[in-house]
Amino acid sequence: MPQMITEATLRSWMERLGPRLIALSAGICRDRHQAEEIVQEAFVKLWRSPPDAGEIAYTSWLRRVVTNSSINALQRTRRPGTLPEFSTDPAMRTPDRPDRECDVQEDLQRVRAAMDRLDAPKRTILMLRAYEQLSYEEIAEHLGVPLGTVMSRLNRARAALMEEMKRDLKRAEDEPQVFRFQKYKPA
Amino acid sequence: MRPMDCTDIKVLLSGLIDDELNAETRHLAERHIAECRACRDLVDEAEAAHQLLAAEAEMNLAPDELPAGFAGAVLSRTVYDEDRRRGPLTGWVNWLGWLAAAACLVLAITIWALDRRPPARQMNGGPSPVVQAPPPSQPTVIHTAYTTPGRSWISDGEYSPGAPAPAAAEAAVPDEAPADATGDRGAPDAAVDDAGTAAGMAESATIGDTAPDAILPWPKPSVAITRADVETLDATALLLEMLLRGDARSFADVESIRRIIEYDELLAHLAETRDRLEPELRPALFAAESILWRIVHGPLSLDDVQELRQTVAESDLAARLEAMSRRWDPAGAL
Repeated sequence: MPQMITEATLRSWMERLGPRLIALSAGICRDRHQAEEIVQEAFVKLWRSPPDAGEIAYTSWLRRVVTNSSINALQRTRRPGTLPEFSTDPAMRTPDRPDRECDVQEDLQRVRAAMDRLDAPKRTILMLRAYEQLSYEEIAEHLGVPLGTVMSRLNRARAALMEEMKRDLKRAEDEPQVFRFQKYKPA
Repeated sequence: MRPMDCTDIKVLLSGLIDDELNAETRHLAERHIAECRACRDLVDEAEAAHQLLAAEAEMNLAPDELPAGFAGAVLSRTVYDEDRRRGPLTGWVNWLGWLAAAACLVLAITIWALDRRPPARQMNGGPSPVVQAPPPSQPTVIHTAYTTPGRSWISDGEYSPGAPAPAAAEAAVPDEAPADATGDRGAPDAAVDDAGTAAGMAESATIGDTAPDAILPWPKPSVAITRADVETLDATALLLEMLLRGDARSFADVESIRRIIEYDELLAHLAETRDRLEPELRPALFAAESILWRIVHGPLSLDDVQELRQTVAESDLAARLEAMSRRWDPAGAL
C-alpha cells in the first residue's frame, strides 16, 4: 500500500524535480507551456497514486510519466513543435561581446532548430541521455527496450541531429552577411 | 579480434561518446579513430552536438525555479482539493458519525436483548418466573398475615405450587404473543385461552388457576408481564403499606417485613419485574427496592425506620405500585 503524500512532500518534490521535468518535457514536445501542464499533471498523478516503492522511485516514475505524456501530447497535436525565441540573457547578444560567444549562441540556436525538426522518439532519447544524463541501462529500463536498442536509437538520433545542424549551417552560410549580423543585434 | 573500420565506428559512435563500451571494444575503436581523420571528425561532431544539446536544454528549457503558479495549480488539484471535499470538520464528523452509529447499534442490541430476555429463573433453568411459592411442606403462616380480602398476592390454600399444570397450561400461545417471549422458554408456560383477550386471560388466570406463568396483556407485544410481576408489585405495595402503618416505636413490624422479603425472595422478583417494565416506570421500583434492601440488610435505627416511612409516605410509593399492578390486572382478580 503506497503511503499518502503530504503537502510538504509534494512541494519538496516539485521544487526539486519540477524545473528539470519541465525542461525534459519541453525538449520533447517543444512547447514550454504544454510542458508545464504535462509536469503539473504528472505531480497530480503522483499525489493520487504514488508508486508502491515509495519516494525512492519518484524520480524515475515522474520522468517516465512526463516522457510518455510529452510524446503523447506531441502525437495528439500532430504539429512540429517549436520553442519560442531564444530566452537567454540579452547581454549575450551585445555586439561588443567576443566572437566566440556569438558562435556559441549560433550553435545553440542551431541545435535547437535541429531538435525542433526531429521526431518525438529521437528527441526523447536524446533528451534522456544529453539532459537527464541517464545511463544506457536506465534509458533501456525507462523506455522498456533492450540495451542494444538504446545504442542504435541514440546513434540514429544523433546522426539525424547532426544532419539537421549541418543543413542549417549550410543555409546560414548561404545567407548574405548583413542578415547574419542583424540576427544577433541586441534585442 | 579484427581491427575496426569506419562502419564499425558509426555503429558504436554513441557508445563511444557516452563511454558505454567495454574496454576491449573501446580500445579497438580508439585505434581506428587515431588513424582515420573522418571518423575522428565524426566523433568530434557528435560530442559537440551532445554538449550543445545538453547546454541548450539547461539554458533554455529548464527554468531556474518553478514557474509562478505551478505549485499552486498542483496543490489546488491535490491537497487543497481533498481538503475542500472533506471539509475542515470531516475528521470530527466522521468520528461523530461512527460514534452515533455505534451508539445506535448498542441501543438496538440492548432493546432487542431486553425484549427477548426471558424471565431470569428460566434462563438459569430454575423454576417458573412467577413468585416463588413456599415449599409445600411449609405452612403459609406469613402469607396469611399479609393478605387482604380480595387482594392476596399469594392466595392461601388455593395456590398450589407443587400441583401439575392443568390442561389449559398446555395450550398454545396465542398468535399475538411474541414468539421469542415464549420460544426461549423451552415449553409453553402461558395459559391463555384461544381468543387471547384480556378477559379470557383474566378468567383463566384467576386465583386458584394452577397456571402460574400466564402472560398478561401488555401494551407492547414484545414485553411479557407475568402474573408474577403483578403479584410482586402487589406484595411490595402491601409491605410498604405495612411499613407505613406499623408501630414506629419498635422493630417488630420491620422484622416481619424483613422475614417476608427474604422468605419470598422479593428483592430478586422486584429486580426481574423492573427489567420488564417500561423505562419510565422503573424509578418507582428502584425506590421500593432500595427501601426493602435497607430493611433486609440494615442496620436500621428507629430514626432510620422513621425516615423510610417518611420517604414512602411522601412519594406515595405504595399507592403507585398498587396502581401499576392494577394496570395489568384491572379486575383485581389476582
